[in-house]
Amino acid sequence: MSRRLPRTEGPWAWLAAGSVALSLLLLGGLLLLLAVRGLGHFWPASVTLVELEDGRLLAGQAVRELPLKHRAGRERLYFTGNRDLDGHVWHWLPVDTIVASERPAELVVLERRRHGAFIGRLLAVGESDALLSAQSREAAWTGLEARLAELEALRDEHDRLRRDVLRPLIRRLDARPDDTAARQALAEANARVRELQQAMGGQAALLESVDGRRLVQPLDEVLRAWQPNAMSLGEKSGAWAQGVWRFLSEGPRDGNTAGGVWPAIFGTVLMVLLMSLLVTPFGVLAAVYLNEVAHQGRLTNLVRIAVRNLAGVPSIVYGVFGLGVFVYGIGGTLDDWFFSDALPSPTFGTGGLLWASLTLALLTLPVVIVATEEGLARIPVQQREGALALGATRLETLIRVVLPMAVPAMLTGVILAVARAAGEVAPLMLVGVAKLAPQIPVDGEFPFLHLDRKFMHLGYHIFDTAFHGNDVQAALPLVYATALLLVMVILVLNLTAIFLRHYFRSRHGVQPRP
Amino acid sequence: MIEPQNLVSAPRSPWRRRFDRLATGLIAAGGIGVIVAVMAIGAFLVVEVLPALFGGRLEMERVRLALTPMAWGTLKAALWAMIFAVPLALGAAIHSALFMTQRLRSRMKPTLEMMEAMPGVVVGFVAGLVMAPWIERHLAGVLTLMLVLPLGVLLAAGLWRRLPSGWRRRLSLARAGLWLVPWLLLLALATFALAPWLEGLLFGGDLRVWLDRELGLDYATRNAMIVGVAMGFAVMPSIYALAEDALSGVPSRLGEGAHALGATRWQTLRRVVLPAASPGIFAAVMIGTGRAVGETMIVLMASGNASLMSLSPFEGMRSMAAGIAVELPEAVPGSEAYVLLMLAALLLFIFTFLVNTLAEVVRSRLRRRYRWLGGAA
Repeated sequence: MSRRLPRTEGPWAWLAAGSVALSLLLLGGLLLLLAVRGLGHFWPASVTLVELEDGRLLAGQAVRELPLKHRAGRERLYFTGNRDLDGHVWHWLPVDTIVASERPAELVVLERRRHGAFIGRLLAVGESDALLSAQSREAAWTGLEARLAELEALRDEHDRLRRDVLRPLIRRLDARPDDTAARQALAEANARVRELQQAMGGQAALLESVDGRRLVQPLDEVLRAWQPNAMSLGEKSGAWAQGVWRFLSEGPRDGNTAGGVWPAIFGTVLMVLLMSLLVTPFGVLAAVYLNEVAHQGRLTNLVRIAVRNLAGVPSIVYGVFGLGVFVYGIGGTLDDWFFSDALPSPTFGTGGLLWASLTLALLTLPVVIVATEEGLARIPVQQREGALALGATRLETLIRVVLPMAVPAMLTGVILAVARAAGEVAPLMLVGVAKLAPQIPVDGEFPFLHLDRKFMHLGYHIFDTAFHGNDVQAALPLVYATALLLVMVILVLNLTAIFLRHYFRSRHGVQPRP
Repeated sequence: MIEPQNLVSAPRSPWRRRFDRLATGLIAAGGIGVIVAVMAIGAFLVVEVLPALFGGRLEMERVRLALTPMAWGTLKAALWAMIFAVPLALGAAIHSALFMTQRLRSRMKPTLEMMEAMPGVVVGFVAGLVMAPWIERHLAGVLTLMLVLPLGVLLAAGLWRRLPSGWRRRLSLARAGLWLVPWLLLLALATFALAPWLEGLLFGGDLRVWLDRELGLDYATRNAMIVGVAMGFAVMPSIYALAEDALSGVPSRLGEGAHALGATRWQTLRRVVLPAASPGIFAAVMIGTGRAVGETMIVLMASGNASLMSLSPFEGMRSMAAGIAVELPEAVPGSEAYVLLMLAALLLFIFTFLVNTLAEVVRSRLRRRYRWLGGAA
């Protein structure tokens, strides 16, 4: 041989390998970013006391650092809270103007219902009209902690009373206004609520910002308090876990910039649940028809291709269909027939839970049909022939032999459908998602599940908070956390589907029908 | 399990047969009903749009004025997404179909499926609110990175040949997809450390000012480049999955023949496997384009949503899908704006349906060809 054979693969093979590495890097980077920013938000960060050149004092949590725009050097962003004192919560400080910074243990952070966080010193706790002089630091702090625990218990009782006693009584009175027993019970409950409200009020804390301005903060507006600089690692971890739990279990506050995402979780889960109840039977029905009943000819093949293609039609088009047909078409007609006394304010003629679930069911139908069909096609034809030879009818073969074998494939399809529906936002913007739904669509009121109500959704919550909030910077950590939550839910669903599919394929090592 | 005693007497019972026929009929009716309902989408859009369009309620001039920027924006977003996604997806597909070990490949596919499942709203949020301002500050670094990464991979290949053979076996090409990750990370960090110095040297300290002065390019924070990267990230896995299927489906005896004649794996790929699989790769790119055209949330969140008509990667755009999502809830049913948006939806539907059908037809032909190639020898 005159020419030596090339020994290596050449540059292009390496570039191909590089693109695998780059995609892995991008995916890993995105997940890491969401995880770090999303989970980091709940960590009680230390508070720094900063002294500036001009003698000003500031206390806050350092958020990030950027190079200065117009001269050399860097500037640092501090979250300083105290919106009621300063009017804003962020401070950009050029790093070279900071002359001293320390982390005194006595600085407290209070999470409040209004005005966001307070960062500063705690001077005293007590009755609001007797708060004049400062107490010792330990006494004030233990007083505050005890009072906050008390308040938490009172608040729980108050909420329970409203939910379990007051609302049902009011409904009973609405139905029968002359029910004297109910009226009396209502009066008693109202008295108890007033009592609780009174017990919650009264106490206040005397606070002082680091530059010496004082304010009296009613304690019933304080949700949580901690001294981040004095906390040990264990205490911080505890506070972190508590923060995560509150994020998952509470409703949003302060125009979605604080609080939790419980209504959005609930809305997403409920909508997806309704959707899978709708999509599973119909998807399986269509797949069974296509694969078991229909004559396998040119037409069936065309239908199959068309169904497959519908999975590639943009979701927004489904949203347009949902708006035009379900909301304006069917919803409008329903309103004319049954809810005409409520017109012109629409009942079903506007976006709502039912229409959103229907639209998403339609959107995910192709996914379920394709997955189920794939499962049906993998079942060896001998199984069917065996059943028929033993004298079973077509229906019996289907129900007793074919469908049980196809269950994992159906499950895979439904899980993939759920994963797709949970992440889909665009069609929901047309058919029924809300920025802030005051009531979740399930309660004790007849008919318990309110299909006409608007609902909150994790994905839309991300979009709305990130793009329409009034303080995006403050809401950003919560958006990260919400995004992380959504991604986790979807990844877990997808992993389940992948696992099921793998299990199914390895159990029936059958080739699909050509 | 079917119990035997039921089977003996069963087929003679006329009731059972009638019931069977009835149930089968019901399944057929239900199945056809569901399929018709799914297909009704296209019919609905046509019914909403055509009467208004040809009944003279809409002037063609208005339609043209309203839809051209949106159509332009849609295609521009898709174009930049494909510029980013296609090389990445095809490279990854080629590497995992031809070079990776079987074990690694079976891990790689689900990982990239995860990437496909990433919801658009999350990708859009990260692109629009995190990546866009960051890239605006590090524009020079990002642009340099696009040059540095491929060159860095080639550099790694060159260094690899000088390694002792033990190391070479440990860091084999089959596993290069994994061990190149830290290398690329290192390169990226080095690039961003050096970029400000480079920017000062070449562009007088601020690349954005330089772009504006020398090339007349405006730089918008949320622009086509951001959309391209974000949407490329979103559509890349589906292109990858289909292209990988096409490549690994090529009958192995073809490749083995080329290997036997002394070709390297890359030569085999270029002369034998790639031509055989090219229709499948074409189909993969088509389906990717279909997805990029219809993607709503990423464009909405990362594009700035201004209806501009330019090709510049540094300016924003407004796409049809994003326009529908924002404007349709406010449009009064039956009004001109409503019909126009319906028309946009119809166009999207027709476009994606055609593209997907084309891809599907190409793929089914390809499958037949593989069967023929595999069985002919």
